[in-house]
Amino acid sequence: MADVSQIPTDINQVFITLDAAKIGFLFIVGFIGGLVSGFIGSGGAFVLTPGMMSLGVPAAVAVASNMCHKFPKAIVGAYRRLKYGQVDLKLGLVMATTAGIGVLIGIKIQEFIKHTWGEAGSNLYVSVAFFVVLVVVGGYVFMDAQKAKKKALQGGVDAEKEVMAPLAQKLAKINLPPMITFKTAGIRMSFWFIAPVGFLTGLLAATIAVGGFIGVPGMIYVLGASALVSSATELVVAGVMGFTGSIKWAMLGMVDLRLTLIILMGSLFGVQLGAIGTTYVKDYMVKFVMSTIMLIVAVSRLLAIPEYLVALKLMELPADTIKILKTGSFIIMCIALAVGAFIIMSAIIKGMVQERQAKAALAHRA
Amino acid sequence: MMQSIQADMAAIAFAEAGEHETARQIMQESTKKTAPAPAAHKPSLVTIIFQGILSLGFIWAVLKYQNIINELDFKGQSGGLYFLFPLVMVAIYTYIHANFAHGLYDYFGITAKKK
Repeated sequence: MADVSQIPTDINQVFITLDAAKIGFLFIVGFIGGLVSGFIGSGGAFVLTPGMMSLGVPAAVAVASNMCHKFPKAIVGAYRRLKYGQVDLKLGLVMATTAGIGVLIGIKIQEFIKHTWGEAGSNLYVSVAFFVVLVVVGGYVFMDAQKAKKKALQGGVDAEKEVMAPLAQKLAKINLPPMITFKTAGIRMSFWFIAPVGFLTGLLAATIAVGGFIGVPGMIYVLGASALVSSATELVVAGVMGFTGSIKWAMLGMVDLRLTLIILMGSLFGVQLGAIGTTYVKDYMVKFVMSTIMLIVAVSRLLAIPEYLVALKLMELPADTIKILKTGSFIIMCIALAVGAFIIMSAIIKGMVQERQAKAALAHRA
Repeated sequence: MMQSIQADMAAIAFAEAGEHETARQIMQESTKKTAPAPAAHKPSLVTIIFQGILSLGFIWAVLKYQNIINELDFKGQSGGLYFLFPLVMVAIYTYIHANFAHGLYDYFGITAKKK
């Protein structure tokens, strides 16, 4: 994440010249990012910031403009999914409050690392954190999605309905006041178990800009919400955090409204389609898409690590190799988003076709 | 209203007399709606086109006057309420464009699955 010390003070350094190709690129990435966000509750941000930087946008402006497009997109997505009965507003607001504290501490940790080990140290910390979280959480979610898919295909008892995670079942039994009931999520949990999940979501958001990679699995496996409710509720958390972040960046004059609106033009199409898509898929599909994206992004982050190790003089590599690794890292990130979008679109089309066939069969019988 | 009460009374009378099937028929007749149920709200094509033009016009205006827009964005760091400028613009655009996108999907039948 860019910090205050990286902020350009000359207006000519802040705003880039836009042409048709750049506008087209931002629109497409915005659409795909929105589609993934609407479906799994997060994502898109990890490609948009480096994507904008590759167009020559300064880091601070890329982060600010990304943040400013994120909050209305998340709010629109949350509103749509609220209508489908998937959002637990109370859980989202409690999570967002504790996530806010996580963001503040995450920024402090970042500042400390940067002060001690410099820019390369900070980047290394971000990449390693990214890689570890993505492999551990993504791997676990992927295995769980496979199990749930198998169960659903076997058509066992309650195959359509997700069973509460074992850890969540144990935590729900502990009566540690204040206990909070969440109607939509269908859970009753102590605030003291929700707070760490929210806190870690914020901490990760401040570190890698995608808090949802902790927030959604946290709500599923620690709090016991379903994948659909968790991904929808994460949009509330993203909306609240994005709004407060946008105010901060707007006060620093770093929001490029042109970039924000172009991305928003694409992402508002995407986020609504993603939200519609959730009504056609089974619960495990959200986990499957999320974990697939997480694991592909982990590979991308792994390729970025050698560059920072070289900068810290912990490793030696030719400049050409670093350049290839860097380009490869960005391309794999784009692939992650594209794969996610492809799975979502396929699921939506398949679901819609099946729904229409079922309706036609019903009408034919009548 | 009166018709409904009369039908209920008649149904009760038949039910008390042991004519349960007739009572059930009267109840079903009384609950039948005389007017068709209102159709789901679907925006008209004119509304969608209008919203589309408004959305594209917004982007066009921002790009046409980008120098002024950039200056206003940058003024956020000079204090005052300038920081609200990009946030308000984003909120207005979101309202217009989100409605347009939703209307467009609705128009083409891309809607959420009915439970």
